[in-house]
Amino acid sequence: MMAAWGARRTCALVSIAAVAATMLGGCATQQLLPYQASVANQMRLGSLPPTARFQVAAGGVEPSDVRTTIRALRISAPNEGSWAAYLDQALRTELATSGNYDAEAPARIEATLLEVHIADGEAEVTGRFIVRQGVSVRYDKVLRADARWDSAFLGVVATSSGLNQSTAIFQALLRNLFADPDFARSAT
Amino acid sequence: MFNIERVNTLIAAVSLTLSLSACMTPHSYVDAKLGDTDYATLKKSTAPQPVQLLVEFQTKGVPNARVTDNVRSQVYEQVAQSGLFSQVSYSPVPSGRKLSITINNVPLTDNVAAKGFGVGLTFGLVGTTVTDGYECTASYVEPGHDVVTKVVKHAIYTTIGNASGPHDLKPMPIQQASTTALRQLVGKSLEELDQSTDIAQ
Repeated sequence: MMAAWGARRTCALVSIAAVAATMLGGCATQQLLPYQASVANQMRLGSLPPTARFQVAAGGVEPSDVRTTIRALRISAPNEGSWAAYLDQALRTELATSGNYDAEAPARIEATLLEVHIADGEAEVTGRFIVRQGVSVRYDKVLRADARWDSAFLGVVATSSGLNQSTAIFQALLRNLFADPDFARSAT
Repeated sequence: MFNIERVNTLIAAVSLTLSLSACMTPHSYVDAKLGDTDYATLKKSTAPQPVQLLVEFQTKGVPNARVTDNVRSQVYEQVAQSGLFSQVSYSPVPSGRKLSITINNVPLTDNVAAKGFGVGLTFGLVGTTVTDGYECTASYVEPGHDVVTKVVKHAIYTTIGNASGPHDLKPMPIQQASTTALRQLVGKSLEELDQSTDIAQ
């Protein structure tokens, strides 16, 4: 409990420092929190066959096209700052939360992130998803998610919205995968 | 807790024109419509079942990871204390039962930043009130049955500078108002779900 409060306080201090640096005209970096399962994605995954199980291949290479700056704040992925690892964690989190993850499952998802663009009032993420069952490819598509929102005059508000949208755009990318009937078929 | 983000916007705007003084301390008021739910009045099965709990906080419909982190444990405690389920878990349960609680902060006051500038420029002589709306969507999923969804709405009023709050409501610190509103939202949602489903069967 105390550790949680400590983490929150640290998080708050980092946020304040980031905002202060932004207001002073400097450039700061803010890490996203670890990925959280989305309720909408969980509802989508609930429509998969109850026996559907996937393993997730280790995170691919980092995309060459990464632009993640809002005003003077650079947004980075959590932990080591790898966006490929963030997508990997996102996929595992969603599947584990819905009960569709099994490290020994014959069906394996390979997710490769192709681009990450997060800017003031807009974000796009593109990824390639391959589902293999043994040597056969059951699913292979490039999916994209984008979002547009009104940017605020105040930098602190604009960056706060941008941080929320940064998480949401990855959830939306995975929602496109989970909602694809071809993906559901690849699970059978 | 979750109300703090919007109020921070207001405070940030004020701070750009004036350093905060004691008279500019914000006060929050929780709308009186919902009130607290008495869990003892809920229908309860003699054999309650385990459930998987999903929690998400949104700001204007966009998932907000930081606030979700802050509210998740309080929602968990409430669902556990309601007595409607034998066990509450963030992981899937064998029966596939799920309870999702999504709370969306929908600002009901436009132009919060502009109001904040106004308060700062007048040294707090002109106060302002910001209203935050909250929509709690609770969905209960039981495999083989239709999903049951209930939506409960709530509001927090926050004043800053020389503005008076609603006459019949008690002022409280922002943190306390947030905790109170969250407790009432979740309690009422569970009560409504309980009334319209055989949730504990």
